[in-house]
Amino acid sequence: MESKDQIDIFTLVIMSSMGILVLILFIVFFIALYQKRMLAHKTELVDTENKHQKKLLEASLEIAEQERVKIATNLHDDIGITLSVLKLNLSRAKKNINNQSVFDEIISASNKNIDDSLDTVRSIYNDIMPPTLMKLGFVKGMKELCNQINYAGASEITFSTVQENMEFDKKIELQLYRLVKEVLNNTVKHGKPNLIELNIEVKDNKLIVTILHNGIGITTEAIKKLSEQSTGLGLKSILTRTQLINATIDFSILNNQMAKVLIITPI
Amino acid sequence: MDTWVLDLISTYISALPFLVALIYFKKIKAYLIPVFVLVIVNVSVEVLTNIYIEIGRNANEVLHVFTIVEFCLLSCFFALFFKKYFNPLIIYSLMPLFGILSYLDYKINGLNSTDNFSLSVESFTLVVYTLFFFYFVLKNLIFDDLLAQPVFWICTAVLFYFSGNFVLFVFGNYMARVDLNKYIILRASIHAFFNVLYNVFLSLGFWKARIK
Repeated sequence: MESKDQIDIFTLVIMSSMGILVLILFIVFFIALYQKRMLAHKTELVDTENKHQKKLLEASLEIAEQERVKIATNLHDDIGITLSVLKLNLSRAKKNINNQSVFDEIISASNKNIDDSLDTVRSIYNDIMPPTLMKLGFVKGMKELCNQINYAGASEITFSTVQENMEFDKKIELQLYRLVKEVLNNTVKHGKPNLIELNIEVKDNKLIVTILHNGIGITTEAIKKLSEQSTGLGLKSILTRTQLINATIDFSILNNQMAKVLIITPI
Repeated sequence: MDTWVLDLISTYISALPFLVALIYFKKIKAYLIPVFVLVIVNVSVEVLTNIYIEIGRNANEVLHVFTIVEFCLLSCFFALFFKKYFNPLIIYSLMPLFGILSYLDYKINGLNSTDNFSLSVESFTLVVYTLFFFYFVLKNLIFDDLLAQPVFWICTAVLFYFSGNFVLFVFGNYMARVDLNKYIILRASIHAFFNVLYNVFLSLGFWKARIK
């Protein structure tokens, strides 16, 4: 019995040591291999993030460029031409200074040209820095936007909020305003709804913008696919502005009759 | 006879990491210095134990001291490595505790017995340190090429040696009482085998230190 115990202890030690050797070999091999894989995965994630940031930057620059082109076109096509006509009118007025009726006509036409130019300047200014938003805040700015859409007549939009005064960063305010405006423009253009409901509320330091409409809806996945395939800037502008303010945007179809867009922005 | 061959190889191979470390000494980073010192101590202890065996004296008293020195040097290695990432206070605090434990082992078992209690505790602690190192490296991905790092090979050496010999250390004194001759043969073979692996991996670690 005693010799069996002796053999057993020695066998146990040998078997244990060999077992541990195999186990350690496996552990070391596994660690070396797994570390490589994890590092490759981490590098891939960093590359993807860098590419994403680059795309975001390119989209931002493209949007800024488009805005500049729009302003330049307005300045050249409207104000430039109007000022040229004004100059011609001044020359005609100088020649017809003794002919009262012609002179009066030229002055009247010139006044109209100046009014048209001022309207164009106001329009450009309002587009760049919406005065209601800048002076009266986000809620009033949204109300003004809804009024503009209602005035255009394509859809009827109702605005609701429980908080009339919302104070947050002006940069986020402007970007969010432009984002909501872009979403509403796209909704009216592509969704063709009769009715739109726009609701704004603040909850847990987050500003929640909810847009419900009875037009053609779209999902977030479809939006992402379209933005990759499409050359238009509308969708890219929406996604870019969302990322710039660290917001999330979700497009969903509730049922056959209703679709929803939810924008959540930390403030 | 074969085990004596293995034992002989095990004795002389302790010089290998020492030679490699000497060649690449200028490239060795601060946290490898304790391991370099350990390698010198290893060689010295091998020489000393062989002398003791030649003159028929029990070398266990040398090995008792060596155990404490080995533990402290390897603990310093881990502490210096982890110092960059967090405060390794626990590693430093275990060193004096281990000293007290070794003293108790000497008091209980005497200087002429194998200090299997201290060895077991040392093995367990160092295996925990190396497993923590591997976990830390995997979690934080601090190295681009893990296999090119000297610290990886040093930890592999420590893991192989101390985990492989762990059961031998735990049951050492018991086996010696049961059958001393068999124990000596077993120790010569198992310990020698893992000692060879240990020194080869230590050498590899110092060799990798040449790469910047």
